[in-house]
Amino acid sequence: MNRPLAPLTDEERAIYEWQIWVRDFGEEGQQRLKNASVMISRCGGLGGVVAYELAAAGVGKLVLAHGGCARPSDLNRQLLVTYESLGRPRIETMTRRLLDLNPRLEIVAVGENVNEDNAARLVEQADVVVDCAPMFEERLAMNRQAVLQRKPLVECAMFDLEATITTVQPGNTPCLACWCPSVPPTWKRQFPVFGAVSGTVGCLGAMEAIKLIAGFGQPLFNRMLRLDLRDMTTQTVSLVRNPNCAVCGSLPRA
Amino acid sequence: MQVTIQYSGQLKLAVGCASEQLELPEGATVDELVRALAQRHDNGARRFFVDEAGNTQPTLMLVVNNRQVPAGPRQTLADGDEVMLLQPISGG
Repeated sequence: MNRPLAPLTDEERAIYEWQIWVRDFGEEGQQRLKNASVMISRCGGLGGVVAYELAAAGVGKLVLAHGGCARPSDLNRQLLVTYESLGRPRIETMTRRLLDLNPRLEIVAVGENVNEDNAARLVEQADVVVDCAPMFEERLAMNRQAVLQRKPLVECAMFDLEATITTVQPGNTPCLACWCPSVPPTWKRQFPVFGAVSGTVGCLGAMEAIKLIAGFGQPLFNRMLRLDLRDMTTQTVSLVRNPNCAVCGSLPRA
Repeated sequence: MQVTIQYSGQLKLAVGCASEQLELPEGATVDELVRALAQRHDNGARRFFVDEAGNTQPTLMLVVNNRQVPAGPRQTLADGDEVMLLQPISGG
């Protein structure tokens, strides 16, 4: 992200005025967002909120991957999906909703989920990757590519009223495969969750991406933040790299 | 010695409680703890703890006093340790 930064327009200065006031961010931080691209794997309950917050914050380009058509059970949490869009490709509605908020946004809309075949191409287009997918096959494919391409990866997850989030900086922190080397054999595709839980961790994921791009604050490197909204407790777990990790174990420190 | 175990995610539902305490011999390792829990919760939750060969599930994150630790025979526990078992969760 060391390329020359396109300047802000007067309209952008007006729109982002309140966040340009944020200490350590300022106009240069806003320029960095404008000139940055973020790839989001699935824009459902979790990734949809990440995308919406990043569109609101003025990130210049979003690469979105999400397959399938909107279903009634999406509506409790997938805030980019509308009632009127039921039965239609989700990615179409998501793109329209994001452009309603920010028409300056460049969107690469991919109507398929991440897999081993498309992960490299999707990650190539981004400065930062945010992983919000439900399937561990997708998450592990995304992680592999993020590590190979040395792109930071924000790992967001939820279950019931719990959420976890950590940020991978390949070579310097554990990657997803360090602590989840394969698909957990007990994992179930459908699970209990409220939209307010996915929204909470989605906002945290967006904030991690903003900090990574603008270069301020302390991202969740080597740490996993765990939230339990049932009793409103938080826990920070120190993570360690796995020297035998098949994905990043041989990667030297960056 | 006594350790406190905390559960999260699907594992919490599978074992039916958020936390419990366990008596272990002095010098017990995290692997021995996991095997003891697999035996205690043999009725339905065993696969969360160990694979078919009886080894600690590679996707089970072991956190001792807020620090992730690798599974293995060299990682010993101490009296009063708090051990959280984190089953990876995802998005959607």
